[in-house]
Amino acid sequence: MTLLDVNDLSIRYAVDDGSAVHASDGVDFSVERGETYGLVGESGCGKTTLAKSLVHLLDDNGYIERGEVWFDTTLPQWADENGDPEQSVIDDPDKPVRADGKTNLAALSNKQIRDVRWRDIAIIPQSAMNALNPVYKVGDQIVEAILRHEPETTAEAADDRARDLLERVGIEPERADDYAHQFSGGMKQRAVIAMAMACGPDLLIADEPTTALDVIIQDRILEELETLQEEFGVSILVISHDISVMAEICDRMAVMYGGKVMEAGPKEEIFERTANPYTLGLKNSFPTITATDQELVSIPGTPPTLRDPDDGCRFRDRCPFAVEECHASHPPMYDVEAAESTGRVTETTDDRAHRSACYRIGELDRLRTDAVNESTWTDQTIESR
Amino acid sequence: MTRISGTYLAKRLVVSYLTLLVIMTLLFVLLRSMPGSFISSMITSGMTAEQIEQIRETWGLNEPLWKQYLDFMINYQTGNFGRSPTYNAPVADLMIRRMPRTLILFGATFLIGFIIGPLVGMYLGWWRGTKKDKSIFSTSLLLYSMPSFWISWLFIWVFNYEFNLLPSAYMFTQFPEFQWTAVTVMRDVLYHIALPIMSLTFIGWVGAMLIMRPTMNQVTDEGYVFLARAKGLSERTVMIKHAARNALIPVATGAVVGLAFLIDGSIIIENVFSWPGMGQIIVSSVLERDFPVAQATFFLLAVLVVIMRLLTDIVYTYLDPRIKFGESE
Amino acid sequence: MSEKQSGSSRRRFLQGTGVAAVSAGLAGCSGEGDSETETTEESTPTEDQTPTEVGDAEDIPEGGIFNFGMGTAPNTLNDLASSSAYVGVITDRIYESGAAIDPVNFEMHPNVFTDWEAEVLDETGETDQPNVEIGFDVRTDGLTWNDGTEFTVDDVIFTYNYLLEQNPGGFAASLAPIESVEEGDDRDCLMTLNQPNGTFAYDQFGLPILPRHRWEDVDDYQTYEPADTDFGPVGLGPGVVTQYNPDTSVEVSFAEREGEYNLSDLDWRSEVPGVIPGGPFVDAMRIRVYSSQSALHQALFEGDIDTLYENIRTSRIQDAEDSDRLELLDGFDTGYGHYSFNTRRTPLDDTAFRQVLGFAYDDVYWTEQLQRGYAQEGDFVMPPGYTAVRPETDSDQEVLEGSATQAFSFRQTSPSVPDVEGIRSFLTEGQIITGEGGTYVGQEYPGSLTGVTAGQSEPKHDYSFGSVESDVLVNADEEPDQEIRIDGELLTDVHDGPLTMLLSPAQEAPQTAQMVDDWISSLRQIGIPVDREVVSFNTRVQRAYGSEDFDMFTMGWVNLSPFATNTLYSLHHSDNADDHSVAESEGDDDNTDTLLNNPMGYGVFEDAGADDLIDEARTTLDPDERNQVSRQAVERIYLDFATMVTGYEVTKWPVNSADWTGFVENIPGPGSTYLGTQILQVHRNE
Repeated sequence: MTLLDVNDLSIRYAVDDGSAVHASDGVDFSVERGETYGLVGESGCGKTTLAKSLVHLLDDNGYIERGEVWFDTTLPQWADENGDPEQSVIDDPDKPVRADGKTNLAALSNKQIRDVRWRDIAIIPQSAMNALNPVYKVGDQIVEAILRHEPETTAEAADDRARDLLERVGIEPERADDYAHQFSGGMKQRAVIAMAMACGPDLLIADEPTTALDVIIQDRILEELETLQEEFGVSILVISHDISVMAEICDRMAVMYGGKVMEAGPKEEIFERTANPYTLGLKNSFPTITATDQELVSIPGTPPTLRDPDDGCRFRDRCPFAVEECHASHPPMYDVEAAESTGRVTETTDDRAHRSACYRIGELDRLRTDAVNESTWTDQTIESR
Repeated sequence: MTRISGTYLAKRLVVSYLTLLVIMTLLFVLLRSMPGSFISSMITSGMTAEQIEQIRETWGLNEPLWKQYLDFMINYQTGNFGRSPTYNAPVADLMIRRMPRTLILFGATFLIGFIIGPLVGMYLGWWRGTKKDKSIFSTSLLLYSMPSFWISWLFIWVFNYEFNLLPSAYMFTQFPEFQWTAVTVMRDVLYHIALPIMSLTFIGWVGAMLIMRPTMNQVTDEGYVFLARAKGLSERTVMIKHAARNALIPVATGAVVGLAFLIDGSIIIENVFSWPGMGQIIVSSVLERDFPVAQATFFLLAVLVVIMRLLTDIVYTYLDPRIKFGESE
Repeated sequence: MSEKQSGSSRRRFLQGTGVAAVSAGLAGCSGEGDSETETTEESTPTEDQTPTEVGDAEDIPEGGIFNFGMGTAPNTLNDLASSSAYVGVITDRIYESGAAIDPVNFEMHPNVFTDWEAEVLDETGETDQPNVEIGFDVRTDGLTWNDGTEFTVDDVIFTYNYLLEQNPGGFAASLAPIESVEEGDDRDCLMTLNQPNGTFAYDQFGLPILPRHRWEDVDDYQTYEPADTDFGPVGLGPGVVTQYNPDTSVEVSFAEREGEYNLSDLDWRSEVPGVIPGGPFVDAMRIRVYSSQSALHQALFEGDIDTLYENIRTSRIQDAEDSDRLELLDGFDTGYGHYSFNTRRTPLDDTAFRQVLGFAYDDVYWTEQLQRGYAQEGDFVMPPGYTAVRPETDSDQEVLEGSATQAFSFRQTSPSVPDVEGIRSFLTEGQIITGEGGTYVGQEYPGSLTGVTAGQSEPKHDYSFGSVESDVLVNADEEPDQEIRIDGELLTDVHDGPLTMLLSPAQEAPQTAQMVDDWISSLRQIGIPVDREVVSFNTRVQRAYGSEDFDMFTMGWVNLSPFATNTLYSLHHSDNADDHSVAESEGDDDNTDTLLNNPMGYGVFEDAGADDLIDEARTTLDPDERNQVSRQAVERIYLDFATMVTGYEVTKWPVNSADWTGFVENIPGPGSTYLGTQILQVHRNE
């Protein structure tokens, strides 16, 4: 059952000179309940913006240009005793609620979205190490979240729950009375995870959950997330530039570049039958599962600024396979399955299918072969210079 | 508060005490390097050599310098500030009489300034770069550049001279036609303290604001502020409970500096408003060359600053749990 | 009333008067005059008077509260321990003294003592001077202490003996000559002085009379605070202190006095013009203390106070004149402003040279421009209000205006332009104003008023003018065409550098700074190398009065005695100067760091001094004779020109004339020195 259905979501950052940064452009993806979904891409590709926009946590100058974020939840004031939306709410054209019970988060006011935050969608921010307020006890910060969304809970009960949560992530309950500076880096990370689970959210957004942690702790954190998922059945939206992290924990994933989804689909499909030049380049730059003795090759060049971008493929400037067509417009999403099996190039609207935005989807074998050669990438660089 | 250990407090007290010893030594040296002997104001025409000798004897000037220094240090530490030649009274009595008045003015001003200042700084820092921020900030800078005596006279002119709403002198009604009761005393002091406090705080809050605004600004970018928002907390709670609470820490340091400025300001204000406190006496005792009083006044103000420093350190540990005083690292 | 402040016994220190003024009580030693002047035995008029109700006092409306403001707090109510003028504002309402002075004629009148008689004895005491016995009677009939206790002769004897025993610093000069005070045979009391003192009625009878029942148990006067006692200070005066918050306000009540006060009913009061007997008429005097001059003046203009201590700021005179409520009463200065010269140093050791310094001082610029007309041109070391000791008295010349007072006025070719050639000629031709009539630098001088002459009859040095060589003059904006030579040498060589004038920073005394600049400019035009050095007031006091390390400095005196003798002795007698002519290395004990009031060293050298005249005046008992000698001394000091009197303040005392009347005008210090007279007379305006 679909938990989150993002439709044609575009996010802009207003710039003082009147232009706008297209941080995310016409993004479609959906997350099922209990699923771990990955958003991967270089920094600046818009993945974090995309995640934050779901609960309106953009910076002051960021805004949703268009698109919908359908999420399977109902605001407390719109819900009946079962937690489903009342019929009158569904019928009300001013209220962004669908008959299937989903609410369009993008259309909620600031006040309304606050009820969705943490209760339905919790975020483990990128700098989880600094996410704990240094002047309050760790336990109290968890209690604060609980009491915010469950005002009927007593402070005592909330405190018990906070200690319980800490214990579940492997922190002794009495450490709830400690301050953040008394925790190690990994403990802080786990404390934030515990905090994220405080209100039993349906979706957990983990923004770069492993960055800045050493390898052993990275593994433990990923394990932690997996355990939680099993235990609570929570869906996880993992954001990372590290494609190997994705390989480890995701069920499905989307590869983003320049505010666009370049390739999306089930994890195995993407890794084993990679269908986009950018994904190929990205795989090259990480020590991965596929070839342990592989030479690491990074994609030359820098990501685009995204300030009022032109119509061409976002990746074309760094793409060794770019053709004339790529300069005219950004490619639509093509069905990889169809291209591979039948050789037909067909667009797809199915969020769940393995899809890729590349005009050369019909020449996948060639792309895959060439991409392994380091020279394919480096020569192209020399040319473009 | 349990973070402050006894050993730390003891250490801190010793440092404060040593600071005071240094200040006393400086006072002793300064006093003796001023032009003219400090007893010259007590010598009048027609005194015999014996009488002058007597005065020198009384003030210990015939003792060797080290002995004078020793006596001075011992006397001051035992609360014996000597006798004022112009007030014909023990200096300590004078201080006991005047100190509370200054503390009332000081305390009220300090409190108001350090409530308004950080509050405004919090809002401006939170709404950084907005029109509201820019206009209030530049207005407050304008205020800050005004001399406090000028502000005082402006206020006196408006509130006293033009509209006759508030008195411009003293702490109490001087020749009251009402009875002194707890209520009338309170009311009368409030009535009289209004203008001096307005004059002092009119610009006094800006200092605290200037510290609060940029730190608030920085704090806004902190991860915990983002997380607080992500938790669904209201903007108000995020701003006050999470952001401002952290931005307050440097303000505590500013408070000590602010206190020094306040002493400065209160000398002017006490003299403009005939507020019979320490600021007034600091000027008159120097003019009248009443050195025992001047010396004790400077000393007590120094004590005040040292105590404030100590308090600040304690407040610090309360504000910032990361600071662990007294625990060995 | 006890109008005895000034001179020696009740010298008051003033502060914050704007101009740098030192009270006459800066420092000094007790003087033991060594003259052998014959003295007569009689002293003052002694009509026996009993207090009576004066008729017209009944017509005067009584009651009301007179509000008084001052800019400095009265720090104590112990009159013996304080020399503050602001304490005097209160204690002078409480204490009375044996004799009283009137502010108009400066005559001594009976007060607590009804009459007295002095007799010079043959025997001499330790001082080699004849002892003097003064017998006096005490007015016990009808007098009570302000707490209602009966007043007796015993109190008087107690007072003197107590003061002699305790010897408070402020009264030291008055107490020093007193040998003993005891019960007399013919008279109530007998006072023995160890030397003749012409002004004993002012000095010794000016001491406050203390109640035995309050002071008997006070072992050390310095630690006694009358304010701490249940009644407050007890005296014979009209007032009682009914509220005492020394930092902010004090109330002296006349209505609440225990027992009657009738010293103001004495007959002599009705004979002095302007003085109204029978007071005080107000119920109380409320004194408010403000801690800044601005606040004080603000209170005056807002009506919180009816008058203030001393006088109004020059900058607020116009406001006061525009006010319907206020009136400005004129008064005289009680002192003078001066530039003084160190006569120990060449060429300042020469009277002729010093006189030239006077020719270069533009009096009109000072009085009219810088002081906006609120200053009078200076001449003698006695202010114009003290007529009895001004040399013009007994002559046909008007005070301040006569040409005999203009000997050293500004010599100009056109307004504000010094007569450079004329002044140079005065020096090169070897002229000097000795007191002989003549024409000096183009101006007629009629000769001295009292017949005295200067100590020098001819200049000490040979003056000539040559090319400009000293750095000061070479670099001077004035660009003089010639520079002075003293006995053929450059001044900067004989004096070791240019002459230096010490003055306050311009922000403290802006007008003085401008005036000094103008004066220095004139001197440089003449060709005299002069420089200025800005030092703080305290440093100046120390450099001038302490170590006599200066060439020239500027300062002022206030609260001088109208009888001249004490002032002249303290300020212009060699007893109060260090003699630096004796090399310091010889270990001369006479040179001290004590602040001495005669920093000029006037009288130390044979050719400039008035010691003989001052000594004679001091020991002359007859007031007329004494004043005559005093006048001679004053004029001698003028001619010798060790001190250049630059001006007298014109006192403007503001009073609320809309509600009050009865003030006496045209007296010295109407709002300070003689405030007591005003308080006794002020009454509601109906």
